[in-house]
Amino acid sequence: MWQYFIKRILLAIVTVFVVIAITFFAMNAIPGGPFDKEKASDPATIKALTERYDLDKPIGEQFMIYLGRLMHLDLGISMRNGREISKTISTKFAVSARIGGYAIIVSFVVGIALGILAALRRNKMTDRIIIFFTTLFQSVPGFVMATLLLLIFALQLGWFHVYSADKASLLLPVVSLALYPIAYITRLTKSSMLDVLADDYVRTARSKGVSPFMVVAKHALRNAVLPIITYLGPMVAYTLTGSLVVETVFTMPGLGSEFVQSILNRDYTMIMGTTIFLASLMVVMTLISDLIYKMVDPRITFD
Amino acid sequence: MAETILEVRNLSTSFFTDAGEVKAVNGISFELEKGKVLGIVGESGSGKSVTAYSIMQILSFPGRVTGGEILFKGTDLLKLPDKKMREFRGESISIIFQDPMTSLNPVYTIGNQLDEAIRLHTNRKGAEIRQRSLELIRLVGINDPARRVKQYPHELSGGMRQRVMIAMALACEPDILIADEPTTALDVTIQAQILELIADLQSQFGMAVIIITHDLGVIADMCDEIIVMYAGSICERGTTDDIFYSPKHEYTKNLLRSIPKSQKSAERLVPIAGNPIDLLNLPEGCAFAPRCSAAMKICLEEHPHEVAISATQSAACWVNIRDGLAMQEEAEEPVNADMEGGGSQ
Amino acid sequence: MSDKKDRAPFAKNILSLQVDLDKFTPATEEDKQSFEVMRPSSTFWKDGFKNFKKNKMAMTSVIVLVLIILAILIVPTFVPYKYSETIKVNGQRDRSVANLHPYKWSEKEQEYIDNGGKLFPHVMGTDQLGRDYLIRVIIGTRISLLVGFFASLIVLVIGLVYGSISGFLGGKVDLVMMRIVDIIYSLPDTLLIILLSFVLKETIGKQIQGTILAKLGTGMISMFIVFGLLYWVSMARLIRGQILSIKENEYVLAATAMGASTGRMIRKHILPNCISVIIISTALQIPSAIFTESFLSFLGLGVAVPMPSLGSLASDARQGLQTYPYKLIFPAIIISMIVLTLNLIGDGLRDAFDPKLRK
Repeated sequence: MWQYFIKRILLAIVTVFVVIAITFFAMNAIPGGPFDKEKASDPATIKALTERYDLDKPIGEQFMIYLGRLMHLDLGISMRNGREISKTISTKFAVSARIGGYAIIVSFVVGIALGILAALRRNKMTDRIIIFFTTLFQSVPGFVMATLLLLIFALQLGWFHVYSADKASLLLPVVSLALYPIAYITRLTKSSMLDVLADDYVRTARSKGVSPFMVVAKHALRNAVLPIITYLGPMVAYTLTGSLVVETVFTMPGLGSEFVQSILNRDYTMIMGTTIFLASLMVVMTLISDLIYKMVDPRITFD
Repeated sequence: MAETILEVRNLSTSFFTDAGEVKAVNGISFELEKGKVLGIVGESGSGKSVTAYSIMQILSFPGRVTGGEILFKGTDLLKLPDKKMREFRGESISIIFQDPMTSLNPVYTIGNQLDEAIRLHTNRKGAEIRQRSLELIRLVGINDPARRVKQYPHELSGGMRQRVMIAMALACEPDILIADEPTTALDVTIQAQILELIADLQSQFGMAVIIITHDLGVIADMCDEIIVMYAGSICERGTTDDIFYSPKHEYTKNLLRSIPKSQKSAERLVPIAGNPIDLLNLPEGCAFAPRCSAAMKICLEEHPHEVAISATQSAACWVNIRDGLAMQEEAEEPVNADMEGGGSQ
Repeated sequence: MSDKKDRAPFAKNILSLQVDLDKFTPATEEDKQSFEVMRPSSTFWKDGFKNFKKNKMAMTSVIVLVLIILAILIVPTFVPYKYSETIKVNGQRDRSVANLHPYKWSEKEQEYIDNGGKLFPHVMGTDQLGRDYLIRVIIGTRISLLVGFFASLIVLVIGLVYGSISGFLGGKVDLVMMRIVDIIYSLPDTLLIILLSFVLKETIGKQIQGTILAKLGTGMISMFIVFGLLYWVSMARLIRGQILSIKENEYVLAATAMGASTGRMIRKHILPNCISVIIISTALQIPSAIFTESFLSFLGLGVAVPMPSLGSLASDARQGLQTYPYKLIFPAIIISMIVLTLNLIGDGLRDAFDPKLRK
């Protein structure tokens, strides 16, 4: 098992490094360098940037310096407003994390519940309805969903306010973000549950006289839910990319909309910093979910 | 003291799949007496396991009992609601399965799984339950029960896992133990040990045992009676001696011919000719007829009745019926006037 | 008869049987064979397609998809508006032609009609710049489908070549190639697409102006590039897996020395599996590519203005959403239908050709 852990962690480190390298060199390939005297807002910022980034040094060295700064979690300053990028990221990410966090929890809870329901009521009306909605939600693109929800619930029906910071306004973004994962997790859970229910040890449990409820709740559930854990990593990745759209549509001040803005504003340093942050986060979360799965599945643990 | 505790009458079970109705069991009947060992022999698809699952009523999804009665001490199990049936399962009738690795839940310790069996059917509480589990582990011949009880199934060897299965099945001292291919997934050396264990426990507790297998060698020593099944029907039944020394059904004879008798013998193994049966399209007549060297036209058209060959043996085979009738005629001929009770069988 | 009581319920008394003694003649081989019902054997493809046809959802999806494709091919021939053309009446610009509801006319258009002129109705109204919406939606659909198709093609080709090489060569080469695949697989694709499309826009944006590439937009180009760089890995793994199993099979066959049958084995069993894996994988890749393209276009990183894409149309519709909801609804429905039908077809293909599910 340890062999797997080490291999996996190594892979993650290499991946993050590759991402940083790609981002750095891609951004520096833009003519005029990461900043252009015409594009930066004011001379003070230009001066600060020049000092900060040692732009007179060769590119290889710049890269090493950049890496060194990253180690100290120094992502530089924004070209637009000169603020510390790491500060901006932490403030904005707090918002995204809330929305994303709720979305993830909701997706797993609702998804697993519906999946179990569909498995137990296989081929009956409940199952058919669930299949219908999951297929639907898996096909409607996230941005369509978000905009439609905005249209229907916020604008037409006026149930929710836009542009506000109250708790209730989190509902629509969370729902828009959660719908696709719910559909996916429901399908995954259903199929996993059906597989498990056909397994021999479930038959053994029945033959011992265990009640149908306990067969599902005790014997089947744990085994069925295990593979769902592997979805945690991709789920986080999806939530992060989804937040770009959702925060834009619902005008939430999160990292996603910040990222989109910085692209439109050509804030190079901000783009770099945010990309690296988000990418690293995705890689780390995928790593964690893989490792957790390995630890929890007793069959693999001791091989 | 031949008390019959299980009577299966005309049991039929089918699986209703997308491809059609698969008739796994077609009207079989048999009886089991207290303390006796019954062996059910047949190849895959013969319906032997399905029979067991029908008795326990643990058939999986598209399977359903379509007819017959299963009387356990007078109660028809098929008519019971599931809640009542649960009281019998694990307590009066237990079953152990073929593959102990997949038959034990991988995420719970064996102690947990044993405790569950005890908790479900007895009134023990708390520490008593774990005590009983440890007893059971010892009973089935596993050393160091205190350590084992905390282990997970994958930490035990195949043979040990099967012993655990047996322990779970015996937790409540059932009247009947059904062993569905108990040794098939095990190494040859372990097979003998497990069979011995079952035999020991059987005589210790006086329970009735049904052993289901495709391997004639397995049941040679243990069984009081053997039933041979093919394509969901019973071909032949009799005592161990009857079956091994004077098989009357062609299928039984073929089965015996195809097992390697010993390493010394240079005999060629004779496989059974033809293709395995397609349970979706069962023929009208004897299911084995297309592969039978002694088949007659009637065999293909009508299903043979099961007829008595001796006090202990009977077979469902037209050839036997023909021979029986022939013997009948011979016996009757010289004694024309005397029509009374002629036919000594 | 001295039958023991035990046997009585099961065994009948021979004498009590009514039998037709004629039938006691031995059965011949022909007799036996006529009773053997063999399942009709058919080829892998026939079976697969038969299964697929049974799948109502998949078949309906095929029909819907074909209809959509027909629509986008035929409709522009009789709709006289161009997707980038601001509508002019008699050569005059008309401000009121913007944001029209479906089937409505602008002031100048109304005048024109009242004076006896004939105009093709704006079936889906117009957008905020006074362009006919129907034609924009149709062209947008074309773009989405084409992008999806070509992106999947790129993925297929690269994945196929890479996977085959890795599988055939085996050994150290295979090991290294697969490590690279592992790394690429862990990269966050969407982020990189966004990053690279931005970089490309800044770097080569000016250079390609005026060419056909400019019409597509750097967003599209970068999407193709990133697809080519990142998305082929799953396909490569699949193909490599298939090749490995072919190799294994060859050894087994060689061992049993079946000679000429090897070729047959490959053709009849292994190749069909390989091809079906490819088809299914590609079929499911297309909606994924369309998803990505519209996602990018929605954020403004996809097609270049004025080229419409279902994603950019949906994004633009956000302005004035309450008053003109149809601007969102039309592209939304179409893109959802395309993705839905393709997903259902992909699922249907997978279910139909999966050898494990064959009864």
